[in-house]
Amino acid sequence: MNDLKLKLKEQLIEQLNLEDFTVKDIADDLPLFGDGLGLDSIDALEIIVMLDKKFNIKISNPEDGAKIFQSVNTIAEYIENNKS
Amino acid sequence: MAFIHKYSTISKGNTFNQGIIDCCINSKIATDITHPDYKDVIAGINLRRMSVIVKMGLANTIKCSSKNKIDAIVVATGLASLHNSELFLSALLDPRQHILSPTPFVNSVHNTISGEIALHTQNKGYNITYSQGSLSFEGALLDSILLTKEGKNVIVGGVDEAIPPLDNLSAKIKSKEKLTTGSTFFNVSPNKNGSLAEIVNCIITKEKKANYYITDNFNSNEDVLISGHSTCNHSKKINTLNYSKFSGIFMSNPAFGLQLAVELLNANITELDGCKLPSKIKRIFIINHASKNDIGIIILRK
Amino acid sequence: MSISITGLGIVSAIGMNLDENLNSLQNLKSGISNIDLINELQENFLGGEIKLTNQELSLIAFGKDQPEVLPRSLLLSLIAAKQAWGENNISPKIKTVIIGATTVGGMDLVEKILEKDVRIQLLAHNPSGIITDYLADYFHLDEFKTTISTACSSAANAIILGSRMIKNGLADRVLVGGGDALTKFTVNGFNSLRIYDTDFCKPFDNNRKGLNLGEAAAYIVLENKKSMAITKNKKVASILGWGNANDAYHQTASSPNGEGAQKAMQLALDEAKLSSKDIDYINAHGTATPNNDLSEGRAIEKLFGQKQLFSSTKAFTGHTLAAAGIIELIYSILSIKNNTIFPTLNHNALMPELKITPVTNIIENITVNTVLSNSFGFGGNNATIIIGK
Repeated sequence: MNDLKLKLKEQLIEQLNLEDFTVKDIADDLPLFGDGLGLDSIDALEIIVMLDKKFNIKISNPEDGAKIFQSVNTIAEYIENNKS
Repeated sequence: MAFIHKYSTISKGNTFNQGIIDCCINSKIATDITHPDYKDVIAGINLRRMSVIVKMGLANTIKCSSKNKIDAIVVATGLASLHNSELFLSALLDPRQHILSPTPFVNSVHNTISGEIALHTQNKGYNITYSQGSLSFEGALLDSILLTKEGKNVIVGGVDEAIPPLDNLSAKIKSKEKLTTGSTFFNVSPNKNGSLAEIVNCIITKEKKANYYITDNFNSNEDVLISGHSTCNHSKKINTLNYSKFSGIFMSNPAFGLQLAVELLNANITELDGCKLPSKIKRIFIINHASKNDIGIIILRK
Repeated sequence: MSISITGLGIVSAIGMNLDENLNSLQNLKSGISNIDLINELQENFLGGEIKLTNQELSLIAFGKDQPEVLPRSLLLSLIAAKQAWGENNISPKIKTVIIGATTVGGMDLVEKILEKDVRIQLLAHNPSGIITDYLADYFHLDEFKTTISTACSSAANAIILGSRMIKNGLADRVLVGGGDALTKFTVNGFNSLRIYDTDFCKPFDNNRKGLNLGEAAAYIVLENKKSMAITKNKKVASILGWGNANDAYHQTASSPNGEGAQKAMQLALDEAKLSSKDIDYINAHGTATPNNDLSEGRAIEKLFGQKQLFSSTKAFTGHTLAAAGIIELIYSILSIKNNTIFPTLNHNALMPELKITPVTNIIENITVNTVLSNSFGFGGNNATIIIGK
């Protein structure tokens, strides 16, 4: 699980071009949207693309993203539960 | 009617901090563009998604802003973000890609620059983008003149980027030089007090009419002509400065020419790049002959 | 200062001229279908496609076969501009300018190229301005010319510039409009944003899922009194007011309360010296995206009250991007001329967030004197135009 979270953080930094961040800066439970990291709706779509390409997870309804993308923890949990 | 109060350029050499005359003409002409450290100029997390042309336009805008409220943002770009257009095209034409990233598409939209400037500066006023190839900036400037007639303070500028392998568009723009990247913005208002120069006129016309106009209006004893193209054909023999020599070639570079003109009107120099200048310059004509038979003419005075 | 509309030209998925468009609107005939002219679209997409190949369009535009390969947006624009320009002539006494609008430009030609370097060269050779360049040459318009590119509000902004140029004495006559063809680029672009509906779009419907794109081009001729005295052209309608304001909320989405939309509409009312009560009908931007319709709906309700008549005609034509502002202005003129309000098609469920309700059945024999038309683009760009008799 920790390997997964590490890979997730690396991919988030790359896909969202978070140049000033290292994996150490993204706590497992840091809120990704709103007051935490401050991501927006376009970032949410990019995370969907990332999950599809790098983790082979498909999210068909972008509205589900609000729940799933709350933090690295919730995304990792979703990946674990939906591995094909 | 339309008065220039501030300007800012990102171009070859350290124009962002030194201006054009100091940087390009007094020093050795740099070969490459010098970007400021955008993190020093633009705060916030959204910098990460901004394309190069957005960063340039926004940095210039921030440098040009004053305590006066800005009522309008007007941007000219000939080609917008070629980089992002090509990124999205590559992805969509690749049969192996079944899901597409939206960011390059959103960043390829031509008014991303003016939109992001408004978003970042929280400006809710008039906002527009002009894209008419090599005459993009003249369209933007004409709108700015109209806006000052309407009593508004305006940020107006031109920005374009070149990406490899773009070079040698000689057939299109009459130059053997490669396309380059650059950005110049101005703070323009109806207020004469404290201004650096006044925009007298901005026209687009055909070559023949342009030549008559220049012949009728230009006075070589007190006016200066700066041109974007080195082999301008004017019936009157006029000593012309070439601004493209310092900016490189990009579609909205008349904006660069305009800043050079503003600097000239406020400098005390009698010679520049081998061209003798009148001891007191009355007006400067900025001639843009980059497009087939079409000529853009901007006239500036102190 | 009077700004008169004296010439109209339009091509869209619901007709290749003004009469055909009117006919479709009156008979509730939508032009949205499966997009089949674009090769290798990876999925099936619905769109307002003009069922004519480029060759067929070229034949209509030039009246004969001609060998030059021209962008589809240019062909559509030329057909519409010729209709609008009609019998007008160049005159040294009439200062005439041309203003175009496009987002796609020559992209349909570029996206056919598989080789990256060639593609980039072609992109650089086909900037947005090529359509206006071509039309300016074609109609011998040798003075001021420009193209506005602000995504979905482009043509509306072009009309606003033309109106301001006439108002301030910089032009007597303006040929103004815009055109955007369907392309893989834009279809995939909006799909990547997950706002492209796989079904027929449902503006202002509670179950709306997104837009269908469309392709179209339209042009109008604006004249002041001095020009009309010489051309003897008849006034079709008048431009009364306009407004442009930025939402400054997000790169693509509109603010939840439609602040920017409200500001643009208020500016237009101020320019026209009208109050909200004076607007008989609003042709909304109404793209059927969850975001736009809520934002715009709230703005309309706040400014105009619950009884305001409004509809979106995008379920007829699809969202025609840069051309939307001008084709919908023309539909607004048809509304005035025919005393009719055209409905919002595909509507079944009201939005619970709004008290106002869109017109969903055609209303005929209703006096329509003044219409407000909205066009809202990416980058928070909000443009509104008000027209009258």
